[in-house]
Amino acid sequence: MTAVPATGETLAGRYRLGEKAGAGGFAVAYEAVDTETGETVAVKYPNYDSSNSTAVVEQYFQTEADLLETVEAAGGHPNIMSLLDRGEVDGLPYLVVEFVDGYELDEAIDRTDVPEEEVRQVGVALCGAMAFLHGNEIVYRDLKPDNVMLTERDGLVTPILIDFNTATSAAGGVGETTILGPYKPPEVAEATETDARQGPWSDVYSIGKILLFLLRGAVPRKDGVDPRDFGVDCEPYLAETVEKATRSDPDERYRNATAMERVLRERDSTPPPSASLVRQNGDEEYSVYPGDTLGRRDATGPAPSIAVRDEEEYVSTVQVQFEYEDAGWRLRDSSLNGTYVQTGDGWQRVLCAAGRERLQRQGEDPTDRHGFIPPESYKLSDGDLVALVHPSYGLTFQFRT
Amino acid sequence: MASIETEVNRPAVPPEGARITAEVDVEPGEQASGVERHIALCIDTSGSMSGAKISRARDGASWVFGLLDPTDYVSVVAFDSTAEVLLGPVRWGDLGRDEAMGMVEELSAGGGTDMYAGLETASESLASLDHDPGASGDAVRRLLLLSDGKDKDHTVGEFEELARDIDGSGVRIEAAGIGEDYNQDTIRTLGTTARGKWTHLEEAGDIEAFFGEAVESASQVVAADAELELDAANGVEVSDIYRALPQAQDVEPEWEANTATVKLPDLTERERQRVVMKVAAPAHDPAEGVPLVQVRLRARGDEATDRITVDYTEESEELAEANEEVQLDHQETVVRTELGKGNVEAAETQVEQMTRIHGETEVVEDVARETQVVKEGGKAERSRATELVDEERIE
Repeated sequence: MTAVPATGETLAGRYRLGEKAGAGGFAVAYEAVDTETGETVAVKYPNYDSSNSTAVVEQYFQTEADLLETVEAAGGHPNIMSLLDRGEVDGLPYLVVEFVDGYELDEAIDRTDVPEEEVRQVGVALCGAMAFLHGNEIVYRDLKPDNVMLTERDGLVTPILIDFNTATSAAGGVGETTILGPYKPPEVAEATETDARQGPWSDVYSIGKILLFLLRGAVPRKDGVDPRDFGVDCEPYLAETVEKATRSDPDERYRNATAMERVLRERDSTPPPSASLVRQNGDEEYSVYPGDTLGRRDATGPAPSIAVRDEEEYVSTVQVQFEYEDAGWRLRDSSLNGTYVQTGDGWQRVLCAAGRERLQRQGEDPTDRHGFIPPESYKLSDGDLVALVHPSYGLTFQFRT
Repeated sequence: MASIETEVNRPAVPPEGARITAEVDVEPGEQASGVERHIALCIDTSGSMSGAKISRARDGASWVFGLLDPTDYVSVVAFDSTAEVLLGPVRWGDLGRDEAMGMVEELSAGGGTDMYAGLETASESLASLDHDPGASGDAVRRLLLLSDGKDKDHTVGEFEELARDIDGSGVRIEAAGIGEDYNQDTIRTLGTTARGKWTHLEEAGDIEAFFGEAVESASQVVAADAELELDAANGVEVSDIYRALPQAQDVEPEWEANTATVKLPDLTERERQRVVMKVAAPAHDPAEGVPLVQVRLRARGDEATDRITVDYTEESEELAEANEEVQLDHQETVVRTELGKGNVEAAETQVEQMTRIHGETEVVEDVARETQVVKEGGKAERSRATELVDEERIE
């Protein structure tokens, strides 16, 4: 086994380790100083002393490192712990991450009653972080109070996601987690027993339970929980939002974190506006909510909100995401091959930067029909056509509001 | 569908016979449909409960109300020098939360501790629901007892008898003692006899979780009133039977001829049960797969069977085969059961024996440590010692 550094030692000739900040089943964390910048950071490495086997610990550690790297590559998110450095010294893998000066969310209620407005803010921020992850093909799956730190930023209570070892991505995550808890939705808890896929709605459930925890100080395993039934005195919209988010049936919840974020922002539990996609030359029709992702069914990794069948597998796991802002819809591409929108005056190619770079590397033409760099997102209006991969590919939908 | 699996510590025994250890694991299977819960809260409101305890007991009732479904039934009984039904039994859907809370607000502390009357009254309140335990679509019935004091007018034996009656009416008792002044023998006897769990609560803040866990696990019941029938073959003796999981507890089997019936706690989703025992295999000519005990699980009309068998042989290689785990499970259960009763000496004797046989393995070290903890500790340590960890349920 690799020798692990301890308080007082300097890792990789750069990070001087201070106090141990915590140890979990898979990783040990130290507060540390980056001697090059003078900044306080946190250094994590695999917890070989945990009850898990070395192989499992290393696998989880690797998963977390890879996911944090994906998050950074996508620009990072203010409510997700940022990755500063990653490396290996004498066979010991380590991560250097932002040091979050705060306390775990489950300690929040020991301190004082959390005001309702703070609960709402934490909910909005967690939804934002989850929506960001979902847009990047990551489903967190194990959101619970121990995985969230609360800190103060700009005078606001701000939650920061700190653990990523059970999340899954399209690149494949670690096996199923079997530890049950009240924060896990039935489709995750019973993953081995039912076929219900896990998706953005799974994280919506966990956020709902976390909000109940902040309001009440405890959470039951029961689904569909209205805080008022447990003696919480709160505004109806918040109670209704928690109740809807925690339903057993994923179809009855907010479909994704973006939808729930909007509800919390607006203080109105009614689900946001929806549109629909009608398959051309086919009979499928899908409802579209803001924040929904559309991608290929049965792809490895997390399910998109809208999963379409694509035998030839040109459609990405998350091909596009639908946004709704200022009473208007937009489509944001996140695919490798691009998406086309027909607005009446011809097909407009929409392609994300990563897809464009990939096509360039392969010597293919990444431009649109006018020879311009295609936009990454595009406005959608009632009646527009949306074609995945290419208008001739056969996966074309009419967008209806 | 529940299933069972038997294991022995020695798959082969010599022709002159031997005493072996066996265990039966019961996998509850999955719940087919939701259950109707009949919950009686039986709360000590004697003078010593005043302050945080009674206030958190009210919060606990509030929490329980949040967990109930409209089809469930609930009653609340308070006892001090006398027992009183504060609420119900009533179908939750027929009662408003505000109305229920109004009645619970009447919980106030004062007077003595007639726990016996409290239990009788709570049991009668559930009985008044006129439920037929044998009927299909059985309800899951729970009496949740919370007390911090001693009932000086009744013996442990009297409570045991009462618990047996209550268990016989299809009601399981989940018993919790809080603080340092209650009689743990009584609490333990009530939980063990009426096939629930018994536990110690350290502080008022734990009351809500105790009530909540009991009510939520009741919704996961696959089959109430399950039992194991151990039908021993001629000349075979079964003894030293204990429940290992979900909690280390004594078992008093009902014997009929050479058949023992071991009543099990309600089978609950994801909660494996284990019964451990000693089996004396009589002399027998060399033969393979000789059945010693026919094991049958009966659970709500379903049945599952397995057999405890051994090979009789003179081959020393086969005789040397041993499944140490099974023996360790039995010994650990004995230690933990004794520790639950505060019988440190009996536990120490068993630990010494384990050390002699198995050396200082992880399990032996665990129980040795646990024994020391109980020796130096109090009620909390005794209660905690009975909780075996189901390794396979941990990631």
